[in-house]
Amino acid sequence: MIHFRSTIFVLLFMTSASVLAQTDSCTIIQRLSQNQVTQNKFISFIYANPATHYDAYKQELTELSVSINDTRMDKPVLQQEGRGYTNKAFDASSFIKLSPTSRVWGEVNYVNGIKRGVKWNESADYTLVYPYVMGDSVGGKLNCEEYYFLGGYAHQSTRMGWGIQSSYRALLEYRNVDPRPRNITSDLWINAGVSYLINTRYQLGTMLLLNKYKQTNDVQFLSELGKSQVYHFTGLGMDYNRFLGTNTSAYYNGGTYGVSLSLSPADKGDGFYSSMTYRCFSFEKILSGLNELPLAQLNEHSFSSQVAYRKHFSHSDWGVKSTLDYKNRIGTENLFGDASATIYPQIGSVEQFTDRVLRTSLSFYYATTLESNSKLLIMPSLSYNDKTVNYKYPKLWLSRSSVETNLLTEYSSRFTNSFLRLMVEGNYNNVLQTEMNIFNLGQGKLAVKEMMNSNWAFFSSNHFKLSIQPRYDLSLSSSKAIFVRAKWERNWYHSLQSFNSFELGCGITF
Amino acid sequence: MKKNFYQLMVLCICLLGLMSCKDDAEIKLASLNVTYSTLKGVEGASISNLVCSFKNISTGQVTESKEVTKQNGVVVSLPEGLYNVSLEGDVTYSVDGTSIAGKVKAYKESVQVVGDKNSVSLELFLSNTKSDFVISEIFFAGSLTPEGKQYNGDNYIKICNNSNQTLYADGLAIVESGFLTVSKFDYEPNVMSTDMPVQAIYRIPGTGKEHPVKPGESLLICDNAIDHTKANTNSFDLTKADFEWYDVSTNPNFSDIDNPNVPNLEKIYCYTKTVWSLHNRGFRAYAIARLEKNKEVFLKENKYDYTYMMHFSSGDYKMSGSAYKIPNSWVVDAVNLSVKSVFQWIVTDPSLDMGWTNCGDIDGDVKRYGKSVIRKYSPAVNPDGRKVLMDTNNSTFDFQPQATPSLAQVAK
Repeated sequence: MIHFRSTIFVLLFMTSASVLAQTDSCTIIQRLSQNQVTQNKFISFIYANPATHYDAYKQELTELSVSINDTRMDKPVLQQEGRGYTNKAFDASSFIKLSPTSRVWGEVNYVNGIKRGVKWNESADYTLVYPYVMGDSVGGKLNCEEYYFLGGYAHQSTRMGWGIQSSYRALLEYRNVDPRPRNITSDLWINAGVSYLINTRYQLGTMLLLNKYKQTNDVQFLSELGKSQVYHFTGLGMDYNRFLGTNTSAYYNGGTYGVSLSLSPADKGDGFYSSMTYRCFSFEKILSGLNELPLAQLNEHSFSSQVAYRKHFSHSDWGVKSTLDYKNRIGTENLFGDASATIYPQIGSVEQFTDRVLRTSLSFYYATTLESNSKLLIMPSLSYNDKTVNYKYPKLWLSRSSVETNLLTEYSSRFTNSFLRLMVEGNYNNVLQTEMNIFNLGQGKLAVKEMMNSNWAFFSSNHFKLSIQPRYDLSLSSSKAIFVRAKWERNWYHSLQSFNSFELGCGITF
Repeated sequence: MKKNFYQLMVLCICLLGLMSCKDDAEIKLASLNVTYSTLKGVEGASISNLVCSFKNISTGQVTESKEVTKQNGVVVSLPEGLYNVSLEGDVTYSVDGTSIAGKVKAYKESVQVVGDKNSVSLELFLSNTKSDFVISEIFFAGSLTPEGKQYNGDNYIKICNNSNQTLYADGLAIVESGFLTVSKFDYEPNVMSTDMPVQAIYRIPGTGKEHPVKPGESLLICDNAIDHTKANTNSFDLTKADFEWYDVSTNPNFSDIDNPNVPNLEKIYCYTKTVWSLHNRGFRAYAIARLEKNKEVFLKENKYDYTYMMHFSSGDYKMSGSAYKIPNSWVVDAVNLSVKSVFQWIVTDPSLDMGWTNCGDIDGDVKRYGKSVIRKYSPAVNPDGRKVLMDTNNSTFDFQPQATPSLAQVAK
């Protein structure tokens, strides 16, 4: 049913996009070269507000593509995320000028794939719902299917602008052998924003964002040859010992609210760009098999700010940006009294888990036109990352601070009927300080300790990443082009392992 | 413009500062005052070396305190939660002028520790005061055939004379608890502190001196005393059992097998009208007891009718049930069985058994088939060199869970 609906949606999307996109006078190669400007991602934080997304692209462009990507590793970097994946994906995106004062855009993504060797995690969206995941020592290969739909509209008048954007993501993860998780996620976002021209040069924007998140997480066992114990993890290897075993039906119910304030040049040209965003994400984990038992609650407060400056010259442009991101994730476990049948009266709650991440970075870019139609971009950045995870009782903790250096270079060349881009990026994460103490985890948790130590080995290791991404677009007519793209990425974890990732895609733009 | 920008930055830094300064102190601890009663019925008891343990039911973490005083017990600070509290120590007391050294214990389940002041009063009892019969093994899970099918009828219980003298098993009854260790209700009236609610009672026949058991020797009591290996090579030959329990079934589809060469236990009462067998997943407690009444009087005077509330999303419903109650003083030994993933409570008074043992880790665990719970040997050895079985009235420590059945060991 979901397949059918998504196919209809994609067909409608393609038809409307192709009809609406007929009005532009530039050639497809010109539109591609004007829209796919990497240095525009330097100020992408401004375009999170649907009102300012009005200016995200200079040209109308619609792109349909299919791709396959594959990552394989001998040892998992994070056991809960597995030893790699193979995904087949379909992507469609479009940005259309409906009228001189209105813009509409949309995206459709469909991903079908597998994750290999997932252990200690039977829940979907690990990075969203950790540490309150279900998990066991068996795990295995997971089948995944994800749908994503996004649509937005922006209107601009002389001084005021407004916009609204909504997206919906549905994820299904399952396994056909024991343990058999069947996880269904629905993730709905609505962003609404306004912009206001405060003087001749600058535009002030503000945005409200709301999100509703729900995941049903059920694990079943059908084998008659035994079952593995399913843990309800609470952070740093701790778990709800009381519900260890076969209470394997749960759901996560939560959402996000947030607000953002931004300032940018009205023409998105030279000048200062800044943005501040606050978000609060929270969810409750509920055991549905025990009369809707509210097991734990998580609140995540995140704050991010960016300040950038850009300057254009006749054959070059440059920019500088500083960012600050802070995230504080607080986990609260509910305490239950003496149970009568399957009724567990709540007697209190205790804030046990905290995870704090601080990231600050400074980046710079310089782009220049080498010949008439060739461009070179260099974008170095330096960032400091600090992460501290605590479990209060028994006292457990881990911390890491690191300095990350990144260098992105891009060469692009526009020919009469084609457009070539080559992006090479290197990233080195140098760990400055690490500390982990899980001594108080308990004597009988050898397998859990082994998992913690395995994850820790990668987390505390220096890491180097190199990626190369070429893309070649060839025009079929003045308004249509086809393209192929590829990506190779290699990761090196000092003295632990190195592995490759590949991505290959092709598509059509119009 | 610049002024506005700087103001924004100052606001941003202040917000970040506020978030960073959030108190990251330890979690709030609650205090629990543990007191214990004096030992009842014992003269001149001197108690020492008391150790109090607190097991957090949510996390499984155990905290111990050795600072237990005679006057005030102990006050401990614990994270808020639900705890199982146990107390153990040494005792010396005198009987007829003779000084005897022994152990004292106390146990209370599900003690709520929330807020500033919590207290719990524990009832001390003498542990292992006399040597008697003990349950040395329970084979309750049944076995699997070579084809992987479940095989029933080969359940057995071993009862061992753990004393230094010959004891007579005449009148000793095997009983099964009326309640499940995996399903807790607030039963009214609650008689657990004085009696053990039971739903099956089978007694060894005899006039008092017919079935002597020498020190260290055992009685094998089984469901069907036949050679099960003929039907299932993974099972045992039980034709040499000392007794079997036999039921006259009211349903011809579920009939019992009677080996005329092996004496049957006397059936006092059983809840089922067909064939009784031990709980195959190990959700009940089993005990041996000496009934101090004849069958008719017992059935007349020891009926136990109870009520409890069932909670459903549609509402609460009052339920009722019936069983029989055996005074705790009649119980010679008791063993609670359960499974970790679904355990809720022990269904005997802690003075009979303050722990539980298991085959299988989760409900329906196939690993339980062909496994027994077997009592461990005590480190102490009798002067005659005979090993003594461990009997601390705590099945968690006294038993080897998921053990290879002794009859399978013999067969090897």
